[in-house]
Amino acid sequence: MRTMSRTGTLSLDLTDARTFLEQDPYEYFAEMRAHEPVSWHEGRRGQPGFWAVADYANVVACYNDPASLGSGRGTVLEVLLRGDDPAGGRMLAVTDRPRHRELRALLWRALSPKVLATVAQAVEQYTARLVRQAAELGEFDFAAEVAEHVPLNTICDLLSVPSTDRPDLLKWSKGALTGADPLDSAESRNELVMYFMHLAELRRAQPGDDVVSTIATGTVDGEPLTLEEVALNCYSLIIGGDESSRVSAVSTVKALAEHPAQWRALVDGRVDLEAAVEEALRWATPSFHFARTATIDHVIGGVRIRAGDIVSLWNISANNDENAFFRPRAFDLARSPNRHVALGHGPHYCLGAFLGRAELRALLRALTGAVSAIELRGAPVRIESNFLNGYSSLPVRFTPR
Amino acid sequence: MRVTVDQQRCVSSGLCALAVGEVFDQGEQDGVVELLRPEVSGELAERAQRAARVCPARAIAVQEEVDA
Repeated sequence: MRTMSRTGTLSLDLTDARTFLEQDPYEYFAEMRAHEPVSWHEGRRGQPGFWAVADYANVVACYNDPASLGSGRGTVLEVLLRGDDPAGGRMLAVTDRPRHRELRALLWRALSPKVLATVAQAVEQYTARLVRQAAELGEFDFAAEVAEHVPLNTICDLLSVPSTDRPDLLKWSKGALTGADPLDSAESRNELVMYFMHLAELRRAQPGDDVVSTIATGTVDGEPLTLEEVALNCYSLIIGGDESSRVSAVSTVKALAEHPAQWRALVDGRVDLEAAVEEALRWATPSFHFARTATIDHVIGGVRIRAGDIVSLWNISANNDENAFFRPRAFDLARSPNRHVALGHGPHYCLGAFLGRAELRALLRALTGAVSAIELRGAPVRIESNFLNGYSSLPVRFTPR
Repeated sequence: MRVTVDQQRCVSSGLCALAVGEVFDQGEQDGVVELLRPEVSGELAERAQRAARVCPARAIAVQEEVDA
């Protein structure tokens, strides 16, 4: 798994999910930032090589340079290395300007603060109830009993998905990003897209107040979206709105269990809730990376990049860059400022950020309201992925207030 | 201080409107920033400066007035 990069320094295989299971990436990325913040990684198994950007300043600069670094071929490293993203140009995250702007506006209207204000209230109540119930279970798996339910049900409420269909959606959503093999992932993604095509057809015929109806009846450049495009964008809302929120919640509870002084400060009201939410996001960094494709020859951090090169941006490294964060490996709920990139930066900044923050805020409020102590009761199980950063299982005990 | 916004750069994150609703709003059609008050001072100026720093699109500038 360890090989020599072009410049001869020891490097980890960033394309191998096991790298992140077996190694502590923080030390590796700290070395990278110190010696070679923009580095080339040779291709393996017939796949192309790619650049890895590790320092905060360059990662942010790259996110803010869509003219040089496009998203249309894909934004997940594994997908880019296998060939172009089939949703390129149609799903928001993998669309470039000019189409990007209007498509984002359409999806923004479906998720605008007005729409989300009522949803945020429902999230508070639902989370509070789940946490209270979980606190009575003694030992339980936080991932299965709490984290799995809120984000998925919230997104499904927004998308008007019937409750009977939600267990399937959860299964496919998990499979899509973290399937046992590429075929499993592809199958899960297809199931999700087909499901939403069917739902889009129903909503187009009889529109309601929900997000699917808004997207199905909206226009971009004066044209309605194809059913497949509607479905792809619903699929991306599920992926963006479920997985990342779920793993962030689990990482947050793990961090609170491992940092009792921070938990005390939160419970005692000594930290600002908004600051705590931002630190939870930075600490969780649900996506290890995102990637782009260079559209022109240009320079990143003094290094010459060729048009067509794949460039990966490591959020996990940027969010722990000592040049951007004081003592980054300290979990500090009062940290301020906290300009992390857990939600990205620039034109593709997470569209669901308001909802994501609302869910974490609700979690922190629910925990401090119902729980007096959080204890880890077994080994957490890491998700095997070089993209999704988190745990599929977190055995805990909550002591009720 | 003078506040300016670049609507071309804006990505509708809403962070500015949430932080300083007296100075920033979001358009109904696309959530792009709308500047409510181009001149701010005191506490409002401080909060507007913070909004400029958190904007993920770097679409906000808050500067000292320069005499013509």
